[in-house]
Amino acid sequence: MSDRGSTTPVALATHALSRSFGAVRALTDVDLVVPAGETRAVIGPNGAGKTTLFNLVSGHLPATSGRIELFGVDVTDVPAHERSRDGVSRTFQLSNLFDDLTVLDNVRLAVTGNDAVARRRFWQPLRTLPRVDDRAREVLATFGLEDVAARRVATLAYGQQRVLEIAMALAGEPRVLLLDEPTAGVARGDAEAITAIVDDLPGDLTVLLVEHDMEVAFALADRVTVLVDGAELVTGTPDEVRRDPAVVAAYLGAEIGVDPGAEPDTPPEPDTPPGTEPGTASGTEPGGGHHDG
Amino acid sequence: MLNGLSFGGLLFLLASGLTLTFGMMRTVNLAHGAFYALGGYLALAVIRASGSYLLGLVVAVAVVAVVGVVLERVVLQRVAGRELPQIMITVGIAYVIGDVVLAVWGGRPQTLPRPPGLDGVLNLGSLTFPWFRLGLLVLAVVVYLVLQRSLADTLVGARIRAAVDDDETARAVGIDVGMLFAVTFAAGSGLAAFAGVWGGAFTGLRPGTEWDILLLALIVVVVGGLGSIRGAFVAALLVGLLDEFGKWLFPSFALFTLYAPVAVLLALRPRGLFGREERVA
Amino acid sequence: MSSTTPDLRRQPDPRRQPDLRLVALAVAVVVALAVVPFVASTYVVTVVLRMVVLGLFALAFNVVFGAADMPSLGHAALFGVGSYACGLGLVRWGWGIGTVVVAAVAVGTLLGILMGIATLRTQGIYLLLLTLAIAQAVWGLAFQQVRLTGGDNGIAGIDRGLLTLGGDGLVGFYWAALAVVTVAAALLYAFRISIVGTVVEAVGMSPSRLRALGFAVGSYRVTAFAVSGAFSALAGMLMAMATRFVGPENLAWQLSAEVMLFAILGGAASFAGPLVGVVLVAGAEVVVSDWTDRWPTVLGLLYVVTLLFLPDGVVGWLSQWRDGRDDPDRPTRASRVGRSLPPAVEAEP
Repeated sequence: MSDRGSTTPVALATHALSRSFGAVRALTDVDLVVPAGETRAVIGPNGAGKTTLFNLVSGHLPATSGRIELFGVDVTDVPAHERSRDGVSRTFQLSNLFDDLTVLDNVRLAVTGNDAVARRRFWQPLRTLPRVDDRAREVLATFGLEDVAARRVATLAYGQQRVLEIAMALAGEPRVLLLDEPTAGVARGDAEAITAIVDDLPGDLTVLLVEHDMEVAFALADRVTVLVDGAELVTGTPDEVRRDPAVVAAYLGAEIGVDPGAEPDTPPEPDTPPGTEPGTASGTEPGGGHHDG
Repeated sequence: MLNGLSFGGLLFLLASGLTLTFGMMRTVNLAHGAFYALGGYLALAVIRASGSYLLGLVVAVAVVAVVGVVLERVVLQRVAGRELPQIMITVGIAYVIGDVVLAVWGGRPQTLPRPPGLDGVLNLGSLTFPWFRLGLLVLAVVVYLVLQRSLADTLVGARIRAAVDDDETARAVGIDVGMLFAVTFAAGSGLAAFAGVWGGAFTGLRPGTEWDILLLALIVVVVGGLGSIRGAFVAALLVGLLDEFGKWLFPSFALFTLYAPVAVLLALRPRGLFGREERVA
Repeated sequence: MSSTTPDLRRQPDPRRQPDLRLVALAVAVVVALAVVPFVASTYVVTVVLRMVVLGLFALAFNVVFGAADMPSLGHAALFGVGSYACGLGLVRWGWGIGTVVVAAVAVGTLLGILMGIATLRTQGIYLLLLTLAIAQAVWGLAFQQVRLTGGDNGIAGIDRGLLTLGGDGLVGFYWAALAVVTVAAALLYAFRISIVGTVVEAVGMSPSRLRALGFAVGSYRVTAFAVSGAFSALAGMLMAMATRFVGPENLAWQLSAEVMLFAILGGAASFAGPLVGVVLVAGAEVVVSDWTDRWPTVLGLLYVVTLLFLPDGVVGWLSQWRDGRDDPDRPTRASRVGRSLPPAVEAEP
């Protein structure tokens, strides 16, 4: 997939990264080194600290101690919105898109956020900025969302919302993409489509993927980091991790080692989509949001 | 000093009811000041008609408690857990009650009699303390202890908290949530009327009392931290003193010196003084 | 998609075309308002003038409330400082009308910025209470600085002849006020569809997402308050001239509640909804006051009925009814009024 020679720069690195919530240590001394262009999956049981790690890297949570570096630059104290401008882009586990705006306006905002020129022309109508509009339509076309461009996001099927999540994260042309369980709660057909989208991401893009579904993680990742109880257990290629006795013993159990092709487990906890609004939680549309018209 | 403290006592009385409904039940009742005024006026009417102070007090508290229950059962239930509708609806209710009070009792300021037996003053050397104010302070402490005891350490308190946190589960374990909320709301409304009877003798009653009192009660509850009875008690005394010293030190800034520190506190500590470490009781 | 009623939102996004029907409707409304003095009595002109001025206030309020989803209960302060800037400037200090306009807008903007910054760490009911406290502090100043503000007696004798389009009477001022409000409303609409206005709207939907996209959420919240404050104060200034008087009631928190009622009753989710609310409430006040003194009771019941039965407002109800016919699966933009308010403090820094 990507060559990780000794000359490849490190895209994302954490050093002794820790985070506590009150007396609870959610993450303890995590050292992560992700070379540019690598797709790294972070897996682990519930409560292992995956999402905490993710929020620390994106800047949505401040670190208790330790450092985060982006292409060699310390960004530990850089707020989330500036980290985004530095090229870190993320999705959210539960979709929190701009529900009452159209799909197109959602993507336009995503384009604008990382476009300093567009941000400086703040008084202009969002819809009349050609550079934003062209890029937004290009992104929609890439992900097969043109047909629903004028619809309010709240009216999309859940699978389509997850695709839009990824589309928006990529709209600002990030250097590092953080994907938080992109297939969680999605119907099987949609999950396959989303997996295919992630697999097709440009090779020079660095991806940090938090994934509950181990088969998805193993299929997509160049290397896998296993977190247990807020600490790094092991990091290696999917094959290495699969065979690592510590992993098998501590977390994966026999099923993975014996039968790698097994049906992926449905997540034990109901990762239901935000069912707050009726009509959003159907998610049963086939084709992963490729709305065939 | 005693002025400030006894005013603080009155503030606690009127805020305690709001702490019950707003703080514990998460139901915002901006008609609380209107309940206070209604209680005061009702007591006044009964006392004048019957000559019995006690009867006036009892009738006022009982009637307002019933009004409160009806409001909670019939209207506020429909917007349970949604604070903005609760706020706007109870503002509307306060308008209605204030207007009815105005229609019945007219716009002239009124003063309630003091409770029998609390008329004189206590002389301590060169200092004199009106018995009424001392009584108010003692009463506030008693109400505080009763509430703290009955909510913090008892089954009733635990049930209210359970019902507020998760009413489905509370129902499932056999708590009659509707009844529990009705009783709590009755108690909160009754306390407002009770405070109105005492406050009517302290500061008088006039059109607009319902709003002035509401804002003071809100300040106390919010500064103390939602749902914290201890916080409300400390905040009531603080606000009482702040108000007294504000009037004395900066007479032409008194209202400003009351509200501005509250705003600063809320901006820096949105949950109030006791909001975080003591979420309930 | 074989619906018979064309739905604009389902057509390909109009790229450079403003919605012509909307423009036509707006022009028609302004023209109709402009001819009111020719066809109606002075009393009616006074009533409509009040609606026009409160209409601007409601539109300005809705930048913070409907768009950015911040339930402010302190907007009377933003309105009232405009009124006082006008009263103090014209009567006490002998300023010209130009200076007064600039001063009113400036002081409204500054107070808006202050409110926006003060409320940065709050949301939901805590934001509501904090804005209320700030507004009450301002009210307290106006009430007690008697030598300057006249206290409860206010400042009377404001000369509205200074702002006029024809003559120095009521009608000349009416036309001038209508012109100012029309331009201001157009500016507010331009703000709403601008990049910054869209981001402000998005703040109410998902602040964490905005941050992830590279927007500094706090500065957009403050911007919403600043813009809202500027236009609220402008409305307050016009109200002082319309009534030729300013008193503490221009700052009273009941006015903050009433402007929220305007927005909710009309429909906070749409741009023009609050205008509908103003017409309904101010119109009802005139009609009801004709045959009874009990307007506060009716107003109170209006609060209750609105929140119980029309939480999405008249406009929201109409569009739900329209959309409900052609696509039951597609909920209209639900006003966030009916939702529970978010927790006190945002979980994120």
